Parts: sequence; structure tokens; C-alpha cells
Amino acid sequence: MAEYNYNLKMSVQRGSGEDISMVNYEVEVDSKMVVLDALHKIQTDEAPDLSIRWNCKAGKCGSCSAEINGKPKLLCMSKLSDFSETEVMVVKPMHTFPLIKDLVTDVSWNYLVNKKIKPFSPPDNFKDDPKMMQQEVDRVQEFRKCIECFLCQDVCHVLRSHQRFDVFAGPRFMVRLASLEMHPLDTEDRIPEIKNVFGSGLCNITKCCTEVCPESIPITDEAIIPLKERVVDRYYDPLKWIVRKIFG
Amino acid sequence: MAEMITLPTVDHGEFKHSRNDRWWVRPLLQAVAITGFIFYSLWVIFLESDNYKVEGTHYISPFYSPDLELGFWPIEGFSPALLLIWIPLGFRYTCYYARKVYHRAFLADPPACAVSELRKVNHKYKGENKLVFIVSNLHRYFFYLAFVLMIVHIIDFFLAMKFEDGIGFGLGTLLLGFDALFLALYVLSCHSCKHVVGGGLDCFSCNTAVNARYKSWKFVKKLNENHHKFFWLSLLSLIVADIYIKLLINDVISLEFDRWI
Ligand code: SF4
Ligand code: SF4
Ligand code: FES
Ligand code: FES
Repeated sequence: MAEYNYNLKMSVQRGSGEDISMVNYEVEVDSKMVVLDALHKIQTDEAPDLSIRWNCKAGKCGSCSAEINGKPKLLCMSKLSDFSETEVMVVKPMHTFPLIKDLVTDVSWNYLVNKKIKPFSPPDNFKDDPKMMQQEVDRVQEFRKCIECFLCQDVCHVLRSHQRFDVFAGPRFMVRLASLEMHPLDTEDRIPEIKNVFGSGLCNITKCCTEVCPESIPITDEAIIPLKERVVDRYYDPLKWIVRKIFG
Repeated sequence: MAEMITLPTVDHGEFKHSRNDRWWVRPLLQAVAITGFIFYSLWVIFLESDNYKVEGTHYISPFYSPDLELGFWPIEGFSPALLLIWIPLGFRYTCYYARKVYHRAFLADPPACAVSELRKVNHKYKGENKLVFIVSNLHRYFFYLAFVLMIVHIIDFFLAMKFEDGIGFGLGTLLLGFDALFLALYVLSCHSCKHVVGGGLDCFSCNTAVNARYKSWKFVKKLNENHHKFFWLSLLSLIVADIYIKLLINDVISLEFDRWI
């Protein structure tokens, strides 16, 4: 597609605390730009104090998460050509986390949750370069594509609407828990925490996390549902319970 | 055990969102489709329940499969097949994909991504940890039963090739074939099936016996990616076969037209 210029109307959330407003800008852009470029242009030309968090501009650092026209997205991976040239583009920060200023939110809750997860625990006879079959690696490798953009956390209604930060770790950490639980060399048992602390039962499989993940990780199908099935094995399956009681 | 960290909570209004697309179209269509299916099933079960077999063929409406023959069945006008109707109903109600559909389309929890709920914010939300949703944890048992049901539907398909004058094939056979095929794909692509065949294992190469399970898991995983399509196709093929059989019973379509071979 040929490159051409046009004026894009943007409405960007500005401010912090109680003092929040939507500010309109008109930016000259070209169709090859991404939304982050347009915001940088606003910074350069009109509002040098506009706060945006970004780093790689390549969809790999996970810093530039925000909401464009109400959908959680990476600013640096959202091409202007995917949006209307005439309608106003609305850019807001992630809704779920405490606002710092403008488009920047405080995502540190996520790092605290991460620390609660028991780390990888290899067996005692673990060698320095253990051999694993590719077939095992495939499943866990997919989870390791996560760039910790926290868009899935932002969109998940358990956190976003119900604000159950106290009992639910969110889809990003279900992915991490799945990558550890399914690891063939891991010896730790995290199933009790997955149910009782990290709250696998709070997810109602509505799959918004999967819809927004920029790394296309099938979060619900490959991480959350398999973990729920493992929780059922341990806590809800009456036959398995009887077998465990009899055979120990 | 670890404890979670709390964040200060804020109240949000209902249906708050900044989306400018038609996010409500899909949940609306799905709600209409499921409601339509529920009303159609009620009609079939309560008002049409002695109208499910075609004379001169082995065609039987898939709603009434398996065709139970009970000597002591007391309820005049109803087929004993209704005794087993809770199996497909329970299977679909606890299906992981169906859970997505009804939570979005009927309970608006959430109605669409990044759109807030219909109700006031519920800070006591428990999701699938409380009744009635906790029942969904028994999905695997419905899967085991649905597996048997799937075999019955496959047998029904083969029986539908039997006619009074011998073996044949008609449009009805084909439609019952689609019903059995899509039901089988729906059942085999189930998440519980994926877990049972191999998803619950951590190590696929630890011994040779698990290799077969690994291969089955890979196969079911592939099917599972299309589970949502099979959910709808199996519903559709069930209704189409049922309508067709009703048309044959009521002589709207003749058996001559039906029969190809
Ligand atoms: S599928 Fe579960 S974890 Fe993902 S967004 Fe929905 S409720 Fe949250
Ligand atoms: S799982 Fe996907 S959406 Fe969630 S933090 Fe990782 S990359 Fe982002
Ligand atoms: S700037 Fe790194 S992901 Fe957007
Ligand atoms: S039938 Fe849908 S997940 Fe089992």
C-alpha cells in the first residue's frame, strides 16, 4: 500500500488522580505509522508532557499496553491503516491498574503476584544440560512467548470488573503456572495453590485474555482449562478421590 | 501457602466501555440461536414426542436416540428416550465452550471483552467456585456418557441404511450421518477428552507406553482447536435431521424422493 498523509483526530486520556480528562489532538500522520508514532508526534509538536511507557517499539518488551477505541492493545503494534481515517481514535490507559499519569499505569501488582509462584524445582539428580524431547518442549515453549504486557490481565473481567485482586492471579499467571506444572522436569506441586490462592475457579472461560494476547498464546485453551482439569483431578472427581482414599 | 495481594477497589458503572465496534452483535446472535434451540427442543420433547420414527425405514429422530423400549413406561405420549435427555443437556451445559457462550450472551459476565458487566460491580464474585457453576467441574463424567451416546448415534447411522427391502441409502441416511459425524467431532474435541487422553501428563517421553497417549493428545488437540465449530455444527445437524424426519413422517416429503440407492 502506498504511503500517504492525512490528519488523524485523536482523543487521549490525560491527567492523574481526580484530574482526568480526554484531550483532542489532530496529528498529521502517514498510513504506515503505528499508534505509538502518532502519540510521539503529539509529544513532539504539542504536548511534551504526555506520558507514555514504551521501550522496544517492536512488540517485544510489553511496555506500551493501552486501550485503543476500547480494546486492549500494544500501541507499537497497532497500525494506523487498521483504523478509520475519519473517526476520532480514542486512546486510554489500561483500565484495570492504578493510573500514574496519562497513559501510564502502575502494573507492580503483577510482579508481586509473580513472586508468590513457587519457582521451577528440578529433581535432585538434575544435570546441567538435561535432555528433553521436543514434544515436551513444544507445549511449555508456547507459554514462554509471553512478553508480560499484562493486556490479558487488563481485559479479564475478574480483575477488571469484579476486582478480585485478592483471590485471582489472572490469566498471565495461569500461563506461568501452567508452564511450570506441565514441565516434565519440575517436581513441585502447585495444584493446591492454583485452586485456593491463585483462584483457577474464578475464571469463567470467557476467553477475552486469549482474544487480546499479542503473542497469540492460546491462554484459555492450553493453560487455564488444562489447569482446571488438573484441579478437578485432585478436588472434584469423586472416582479419583475414592481411588486415592483406598490406594493411598 | 502463599496469600494474594490486594489492590484498592474502585466502583465502575454498568456497561461502561469505549469500544466503537458492534461488540453486541455476536452475543445477541448467539443468545437468539441458543434460545431458538431451547424452544425447538421443548416443542420436540413435549408436543411431538410420539412423532419420531419413519415407517418403512430405520430413520429415528436423533433427539430420541437411543430408542429405549421399556415395558413399564407409564407416561402415555412420551418416549422413554426422555429418560436420558439429561445426558446431552448436561454435556452441553458444562461444555467449556458453552460456558463462554452463556456467560457472555445470557449473563453478560462480561457481555464482550473490555465491556463492563450488566450488574453493579460484585466484589464478592466467585465465578465457578459456587453453585450452579461449580457443577461444571463434573464435565468429564458427562463426557464419558456422551461418548457412549456418540456410539449410539453412529449405530443409528448404520441402521439408517436398512430399509424394508434391504440395504439402501437415502437423504435421511445422509442427514443422520452428518448428525453422527458432527456429534463425534464435538465429543472427541472436548477439553476433558484432551485431558483424559494425555493432557494430564507432564512427560510424554518418559516411557514407551505414553507415546500412544501423546499421539492421541496431539490428535485431540488439533480437533479441539475447532471445538466451537463442532458445537454449533452438531446442534445444527441435529435440528436438520429432526426436521427432515418430521417432514417424512407427515408425508411432506415422500419416501421415493428420500431414497437414492
Ligand atoms: S478466560 Fe478466564 S482468565 Fe481469561 S479473561 Fe476470561 S475469565 Fe479471565
Ligand atoms: S499472556 Fe499474552 S497478553 Fe498476557 S501478558 Fe503474556 S503476552 Fe501479554
Ligand atoms: S514498545 Fe515494546 S511492546 Fe510496544
Ligand atoms: S464438550 Fe465442550 S469442552 Fe467438553
